[in-house]
Amino acid sequence: MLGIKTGFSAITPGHIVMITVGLGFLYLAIKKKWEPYELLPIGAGMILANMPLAGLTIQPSADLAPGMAGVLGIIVKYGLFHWNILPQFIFFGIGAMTDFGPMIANPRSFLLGAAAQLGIYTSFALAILFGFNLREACSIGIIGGADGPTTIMTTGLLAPDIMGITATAAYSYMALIAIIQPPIIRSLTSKKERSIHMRPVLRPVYRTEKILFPIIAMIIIIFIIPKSAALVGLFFLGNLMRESGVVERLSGTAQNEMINIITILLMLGIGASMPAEKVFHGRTLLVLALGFLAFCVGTAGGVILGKIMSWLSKEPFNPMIGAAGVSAVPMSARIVQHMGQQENKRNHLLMHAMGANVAGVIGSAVAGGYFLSYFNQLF
Amino acid sequence: MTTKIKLFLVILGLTTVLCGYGPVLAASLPEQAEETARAFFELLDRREFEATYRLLAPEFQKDTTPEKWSLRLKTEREMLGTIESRRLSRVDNVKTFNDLPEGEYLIAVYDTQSRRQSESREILALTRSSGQYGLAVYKTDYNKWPEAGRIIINGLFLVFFIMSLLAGITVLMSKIIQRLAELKEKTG
Repeated sequence: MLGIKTGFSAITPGHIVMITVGLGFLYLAIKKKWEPYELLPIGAGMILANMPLAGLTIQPSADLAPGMAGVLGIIVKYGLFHWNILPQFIFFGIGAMTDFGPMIANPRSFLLGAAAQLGIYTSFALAILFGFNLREACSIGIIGGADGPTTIMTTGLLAPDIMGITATAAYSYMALIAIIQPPIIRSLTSKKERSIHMRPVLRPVYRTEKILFPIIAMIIIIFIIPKSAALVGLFFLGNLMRESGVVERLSGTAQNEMINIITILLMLGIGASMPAEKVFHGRTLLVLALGFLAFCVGTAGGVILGKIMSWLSKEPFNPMIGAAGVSAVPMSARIVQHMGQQENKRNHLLMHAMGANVAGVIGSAVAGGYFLSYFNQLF
Repeated sequence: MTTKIKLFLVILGLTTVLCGYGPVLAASLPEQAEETARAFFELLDRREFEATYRLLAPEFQKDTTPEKWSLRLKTEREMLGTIESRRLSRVDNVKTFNDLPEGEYLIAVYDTQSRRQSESREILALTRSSGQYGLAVYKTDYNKWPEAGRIIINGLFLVFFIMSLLAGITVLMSKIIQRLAELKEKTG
């Protein structure tokens, strides 16, 4: 009648469900303000990708006529799969925004950042048990690192078919961290432990330490796990720009304009990687459940090591800090601070928790880099 | 042939049909299928994944792109590493296989020994269209747990090792820098 084929003629129940899920994300972002910088563009991408006949997700290919590829398809293909540059530049921006001071002042944080990666390997093993292949299992496990860019990078290279789901799971669980973590922390610690008072102020960290740390850490990690360079290298480079104090314009751009632009592209790309035909699969729920478990076990791993440190430490040590070892910066550190204050008004755990939090970012990048290196050297 | 043997063969035939499989053939493929399989394995073993796309049956080519097929193939094959021996152990005629649409498929199962897996199987699903045999699916079957165990143990070790190393170096670096700062203060 109109001389064109409307979207209504091609809509499927899958499209309707995915558009509804996208609208749900928009609601959470706008109304509830849950991780709005991530959930809003993801939701929008999801809606746009599931508009029938719109063709926004058509990826460029040799046999496609010029101009026929969709903008979301171009972002997904080149930003996430083919070149995989977006998560790396997000890491660059995060590096420029990160203060390693609390971690340098309290080197125990490094171990908490390692313990919180336990969830990755637990879910990896369970994913194998449920019949996923090794690449998919790594991609599911890495959700437990609570680190969006690492999840996107690892899944984009190892199991691109489930990247939309793993990335959305990682960001959604981060948005829900205030609901996920407290019950786990409470179940593993006593009231007395949660009330432990720690010195609120850490020692001051010299500028030289802050400059030398990213250089040394970058060289060591990349020498041991070369394939982590894409994430670790850019992360520490961003941090070096911040701490050097000589390239303030570049550091400012990395922390603001650049990370904002990349966030828009990356999150739209994630949303666009979830067309109904990829999501409506029996395994999707399993990926979400295993990712959730990874998050929970990661938190538990950090708290358990925190308890061990608390028993062994001469100075008072609040085991809740271990929960911040998952790299959801700075949300999990804020949760620890909030719970600490609930139990003991004198408690100011934020800086201690930030140390573990930042260590968690390094820990998850190391875990992701190991997965990438492992598969890179195969056949 | 005695009645008992005839009865045994009839029961065997019926059981095979009732199990949903066509008759089990001897472990050999029809000549054309054999050629397709051989060409496929030659390319596969040379890691020319994308080149195997042309061996896909036309109806399966439509469902994927050379890039996607290549990635799927690499993912499936990589855990075996270099092949040391490959022997066709079984050929079945089936109507369905895994997620494949209903049709006529030849399932060729190969017992494979490779550098990474001492025991594994490679499974090829071939289908005939326009008189030619084309590929429908390539799968591998091996025990994932030894490899998974290695990933878990090595991964955990590396995470803890690197983080402990960084902790140690940070302590050392901080002490040196603090000491130097103190000395600088003393010397004015």
